[in-house]
Amino acid sequence: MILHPAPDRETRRPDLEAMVSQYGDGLLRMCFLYLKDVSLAEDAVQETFAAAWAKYDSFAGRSSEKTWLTAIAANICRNMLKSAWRRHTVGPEALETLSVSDPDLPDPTVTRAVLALPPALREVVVLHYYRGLKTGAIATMLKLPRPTVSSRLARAKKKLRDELKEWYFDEE
Amino acid sequence: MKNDNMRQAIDSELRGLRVSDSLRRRVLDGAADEKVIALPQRRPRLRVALAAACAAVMLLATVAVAAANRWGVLDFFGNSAKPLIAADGADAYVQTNLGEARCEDLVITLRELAFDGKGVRYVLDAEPAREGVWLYSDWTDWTEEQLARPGRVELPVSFAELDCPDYDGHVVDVEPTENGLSFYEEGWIDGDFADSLSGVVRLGELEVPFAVQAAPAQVYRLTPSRESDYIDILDITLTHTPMANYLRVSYREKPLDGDAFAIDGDATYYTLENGTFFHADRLCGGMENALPMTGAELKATDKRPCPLCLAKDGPNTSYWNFCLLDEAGEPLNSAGGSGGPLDGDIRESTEVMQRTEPRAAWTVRVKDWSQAVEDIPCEAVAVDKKMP
Repeated sequence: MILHPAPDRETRRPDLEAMVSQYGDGLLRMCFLYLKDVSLAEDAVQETFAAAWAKYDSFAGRSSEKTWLTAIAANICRNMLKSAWRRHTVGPEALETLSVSDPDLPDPTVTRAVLALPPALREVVVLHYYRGLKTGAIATMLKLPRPTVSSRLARAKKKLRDELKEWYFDEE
Repeated sequence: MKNDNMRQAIDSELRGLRVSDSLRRRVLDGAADEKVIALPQRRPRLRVALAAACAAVMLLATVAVAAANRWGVLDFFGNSAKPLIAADGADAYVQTNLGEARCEDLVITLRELAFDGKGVRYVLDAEPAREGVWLYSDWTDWTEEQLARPGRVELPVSFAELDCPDYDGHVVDVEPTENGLSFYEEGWIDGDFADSLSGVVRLGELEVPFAVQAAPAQVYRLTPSRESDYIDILDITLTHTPMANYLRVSYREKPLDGDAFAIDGDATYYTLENGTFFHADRLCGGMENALPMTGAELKATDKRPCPLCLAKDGPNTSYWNFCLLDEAGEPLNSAGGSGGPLDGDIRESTEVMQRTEPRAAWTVRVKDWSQAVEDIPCEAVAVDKKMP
């Protein structure tokens, strides 16, 4: 059992609400890109904020709050992916779990391409391109050598470039 | 594509995915729960359906049994949420013991590999090369008991990787064995079906080269009974192999008719000098440096309305996908697929379908990723048989 000092809920609850408002949507989308399932992504976000709440006293401010929350969420998503019944990946049909019938929503071209990446590549793409982390931070977070992160990013970029050709890349 | 572009594109595409009021309540209420604070990593999932929980228990039980017997390529087939089902006798086409490589700590063996001309599936075993150690990979479930064992050697990589031309892997799995790990990967090669395949399977610095022949395949050409309302279908082939069905559709988007999108001559649109599309949103898809252009000016160009920000009514996508319907009218599971430019405006989509017996007639469902838009009956005629 992990023991934490009881937080001062009255003073921290407004912070938590602010954190959810500020970071919730981004974390939810990040978790969806990791897990390919909206319900699981919501669970992951809930666990992320629960863990952040519990560990807030240990947050030393060495990174930004966003990076700190991203690291917690990435860890939780990895744990979820490890579970035996979630390990298999599926293709872009994961998007069907989203309510994409809304005519105002654009075609999920980039999302689809990212979801189609193998997990190890998708992970670094989500953290680097979507969450804006540097390769060094990702290497520390994932306990990987930095060249491995760079190599995975390069491979992912190649796949994405092929996949998104004539959609986004010709518009640069 | 720059970081910001991708972030903006994903945020735009997933803008319907937001923290709902109920999730916000769950977060705030959950954080106030002392149990959550005490055990943040171990709290039960709140929204796992009972059926899923039961399935997980059954799967874990299966894993325990299978681990003792070493899972083979075909064992992994049925372990997916949308499983492929190999044909009876498919094991005759699984090639075994293709080679090994070793270093001081580790010996890897490419124990099984199945190639059917398109799909590649393999199992790579990693075992300790010396007594008293066991191998750890961070993508596998480990019990506290297992983790407490002495002699843990952490693998430098999380997955095995297959390296050969045009290979694209999608499904991975890792199963613990007594002291090691079995890595499974499933993917497909782009382009035409191949008679043989050679490459290497790599785990960190170690690699095992391989060269295999493809399993036999029977190819059918499907002739649509009518035109699609949305795309020009140029060719449909269905390839049966012992491992899967592959549905390949070559198509071209139909030219937009005049009514599909009416350009307002007085309106301002945005476009890039060499861009294919014109946009209502200056920052659509994360593009930069778009120039304004009036509708009147646009009419003199061959630029097309952006499928993102100027979607006409009804389905509109550059990437369609397809599936076959079974006799009950239900879609055969799609295990993955690929789409993309092939030649000019001609696109090709290859979908991996659950394996079935050949039939004289099929119905092909056309989908715009999220929903079915039409069903087209097709007649199937055998055109080619590929033997190993």
